[in-house]
Amino acid sequence: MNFRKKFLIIFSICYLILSSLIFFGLKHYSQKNSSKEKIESMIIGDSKFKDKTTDLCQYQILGEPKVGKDYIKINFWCSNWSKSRSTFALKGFSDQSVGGILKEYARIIGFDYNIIQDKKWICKLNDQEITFKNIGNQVGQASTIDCFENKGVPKHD
Amino acid sequence: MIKKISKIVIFIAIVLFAFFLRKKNYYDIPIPGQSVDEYSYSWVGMSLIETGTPVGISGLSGYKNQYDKYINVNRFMQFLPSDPLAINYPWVDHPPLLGLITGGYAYLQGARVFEDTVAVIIRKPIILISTVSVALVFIFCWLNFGFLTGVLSGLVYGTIPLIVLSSRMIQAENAIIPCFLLAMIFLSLFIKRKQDVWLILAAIISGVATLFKLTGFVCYLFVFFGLLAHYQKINKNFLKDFGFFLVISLPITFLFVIYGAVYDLEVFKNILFSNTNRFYGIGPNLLLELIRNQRLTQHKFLPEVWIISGWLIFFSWIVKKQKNIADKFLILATLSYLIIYVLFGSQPYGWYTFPFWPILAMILSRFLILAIEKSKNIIPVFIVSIMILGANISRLMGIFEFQPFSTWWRIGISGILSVLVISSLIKLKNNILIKLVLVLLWVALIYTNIKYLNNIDIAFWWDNIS
Repeated sequence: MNFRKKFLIIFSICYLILSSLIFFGLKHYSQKNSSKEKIESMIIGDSKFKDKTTDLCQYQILGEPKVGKDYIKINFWCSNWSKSRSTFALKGFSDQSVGGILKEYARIIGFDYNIIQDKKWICKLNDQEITFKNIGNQVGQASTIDCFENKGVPKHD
Repeated sequence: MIKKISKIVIFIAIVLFAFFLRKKNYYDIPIPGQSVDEYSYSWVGMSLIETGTPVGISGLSGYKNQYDKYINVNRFMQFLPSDPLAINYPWVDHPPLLGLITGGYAYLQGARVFEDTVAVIIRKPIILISTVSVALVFIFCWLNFGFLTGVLSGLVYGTIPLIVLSSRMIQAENAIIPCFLLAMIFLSLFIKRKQDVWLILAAIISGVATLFKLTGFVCYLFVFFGLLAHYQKINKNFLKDFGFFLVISLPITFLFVIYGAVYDLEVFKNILFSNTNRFYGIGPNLLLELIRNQRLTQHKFLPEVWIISGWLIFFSWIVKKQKNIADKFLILATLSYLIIYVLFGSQPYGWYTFPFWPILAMILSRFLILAIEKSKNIIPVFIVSIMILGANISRLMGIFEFQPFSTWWRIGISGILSVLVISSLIKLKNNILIKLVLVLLWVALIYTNIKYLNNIDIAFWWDNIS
């Protein structure tokens, strides 16, 4: 038997083992470890490598999504005259209630959602103040959420 | 013995130098997020390890599960206009090998959620892979053309600014490049030494290349052309060797189908066909764009005269048929990838062109060194060197800053060119002075490459790289 034939026999055996391992091993591993919840938590989980900011006007999201009216604008206005203005495609939010959107916004930007309540930010949806009563309301297309650090802070450019 | 050791020391020094150039600011430049594929590859590998299901960015039709999510890794959305990312699973756009390397490394570093895949972690493995490519460029030239060509090709491929920046990007092409170079090295050794082990290694590495991305088929095409160039006809020996090659490489590529079958063969088939119907954004002027405009991403251009010169020499080599099999290999490697580029082309993303660059760097280095070793083409070599040097200088200083040097430039170049023309007319060979001038020019070329690279920080990137 020449070298090539010998090699092909060994190669075939190794290949059969490897391909079986990939097919059956991965199938079993995937069935055991994969679930919709696990995948979702991996996609939107909080990163341990991302610093959480306490300055809600420090970061924003750039760009205007090309989605017609399917967007929401979220603006944070700070007392030191800084601001953070972002526009999001609504399809990027699975929970489209006011609270759901603000929670997701906090995750995207990287701050603790509770700061909004703890530091008594005043938030408005289309100029209507957001309260415990209406925080579960769904936002409509082309809505705007404005949050002010305190009562005296105006919208500024 | 001392000669051999000093050659190895030079080899290691050049590879290490290339590594440090790639490592400097690797997590800042290119700006993370300008290609979200970098994250996607890592997510695919990480999710495959964590859950057994690959999850990544696709947006191709044919997937059953899709999430549109803002995933703000490195807070890149602060600087780059961003839409929600179309996340699909099980992601089978491409084979998972690159994802397993970068995502696997991120996993080992403690990354568990998508936003953990920060550039400072995920880009590390690709820096190493790209450094291996520099070593392989050196080795191919050393084996086939001699040590001097190896040195120059290593320095050229190791320091061209566009190539250094591209080497930091997590793109499958950066993993295909070392496979392609290894296939070239193994095939040249097979032809030289007539030992089957080299053909086996070429077959294995060609199969592995397709597990990074299907454009890894370039290795198959290259081996086909390379064997044909060796046998010069489709005879029994050619068929025997290429058949043996395919019997080993094809099953390795088929592992991707087995992998797809683990999840859903129907979805896998749909995605494969969706890929074939991709928008042909490179358009009919793809060849002109390929030569004229070098890109990093879709919109980031960094035209590189080194590469344009490589193309010019490539064309001259095709016109004047090459006799040396290794020279033929360089032409065939370029043509093989050109066929793949035209066939698989979709959007004009810069990374699709990355695999041309090591081959063009080798062609250019071979062309330049022949002037020193065999006094060949001294005038064209001088003109090409000056063309690259001029382009490099103009990147470092504006036209007004250059004016104090303009007298030196015009008198120096026109003077040397006159001497070269006269010496070629009186057939003066082995002029050491001329060769010394050329070597000094190349030192200046490498120096200006490094100088430009040192200038590139985040501010420079935004202000100067369109």
